Amino acid sequence: MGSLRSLFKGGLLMLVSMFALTAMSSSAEPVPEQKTEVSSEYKVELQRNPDYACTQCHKDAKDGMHGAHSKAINPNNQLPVTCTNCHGKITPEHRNGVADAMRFNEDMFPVDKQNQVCMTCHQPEKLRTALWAHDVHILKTSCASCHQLHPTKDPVQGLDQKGQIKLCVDCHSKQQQQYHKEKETP
Amino acid sequence: MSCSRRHFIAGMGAVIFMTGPVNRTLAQTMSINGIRYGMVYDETRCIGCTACMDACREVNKVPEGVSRLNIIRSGPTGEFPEAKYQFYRHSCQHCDNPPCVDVCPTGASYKDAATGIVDVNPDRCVGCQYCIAACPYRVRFIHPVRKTADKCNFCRDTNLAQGKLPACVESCPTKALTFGNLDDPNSEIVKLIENRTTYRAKVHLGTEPKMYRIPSKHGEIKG
Ligand code: SF4
Ligand code: SF4
Repeated sequence: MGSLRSLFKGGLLMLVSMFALTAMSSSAEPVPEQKTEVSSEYKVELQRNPDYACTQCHKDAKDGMHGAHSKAINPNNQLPVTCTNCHGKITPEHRNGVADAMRFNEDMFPVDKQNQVCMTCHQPEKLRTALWAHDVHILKTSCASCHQLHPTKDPVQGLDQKGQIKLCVDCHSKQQQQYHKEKETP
Repeated sequence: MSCSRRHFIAGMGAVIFMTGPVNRTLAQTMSINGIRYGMVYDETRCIGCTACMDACREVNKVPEGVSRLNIIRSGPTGEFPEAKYQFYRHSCQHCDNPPCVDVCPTGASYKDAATGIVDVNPDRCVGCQYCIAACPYRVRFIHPVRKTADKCNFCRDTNLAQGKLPACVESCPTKALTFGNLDDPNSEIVKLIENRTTYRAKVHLGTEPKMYRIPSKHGEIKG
């Protein structure tokens, strides 16, 4: 009996000390400061997440926006970039796969239509500075055929010289093969 | 001192006499077995990817800081989104009449009689750099490790020796480079030169370069 009591006592002590520990650690965390809006008398607050409807279906890791654009500010309205900023509005037929919302790197939409979307924010001068080849591809291939925006990291960002050359070579050799095949089969 | 017109003309005659008929050895002028390698660089096909530069460096073990082959990009001309770029291949032209060979005091620089390829024998090169000064195309350099003159030799001791095409030709994704025997009328390269408009750089110097170029459709042809 004596041993049971001591066990009980010990358990109580442990519980108390655990509580004290968690209380201490939580008090050590910095309290997030309440942000006070300075001078925004008529600031329009969005009532709900503009991406809510989209993300009800497009919610898996592949469809979600994880890349730089998830934190990007649309320079045209100074608000965070939303799904519809780039993909446009959908129609009631959207679930039947009609060509309504913009799909990037898919034949359903012509290259110029796709790239026009990107060019509403990305300026030609900056693109040229980043890589001269932007200049000669903008009318010919979709931005999304090299860039991937949804994943955390765009695979072509931070490519080294060799990787860049490989990208050119892979695409252009395929193009050559296709061209020759088309020439051979009338 | 008076320099009469008569003296001047007489002097000119002497200069012409000395520079005119250059003594050429058999090895310098004629190809044996009818092989005279040359190259066509199609500026309209080149996309400036520089895969050829990389391949050359790798195959020929060219150290960083120097290069046997450069693709020089110029431009853009025109306005976005129609901006155009031009590409120019900067490498040895394999002159049929190579000034770099003429000036070499040791015979290290030579034109290979069997192929027409201009090459350097590093064992004989003393690094005097006469050839670097003499080359009007400015394609020669001192190899930083060997300390001898170096430049493109169409992969003569690497890929060609293994029965392959030069590294740049092999690696080009757009088939902008054609390599072959200029003395073979049935070769692809000769047909290409016959059927397309080509130019060569600085032909007025009499170097007879064997690097032919199909000019870009945009901008000036700066031969
Ligand atoms: S291009 Fe220069 S290095 Fe090449 S053969 Fe002519 S003169 Fe010599
Ligand atoms: S590999 Fe071909 S396309 Fe690329 S830079 Fe060289 S010549 Fe031009």
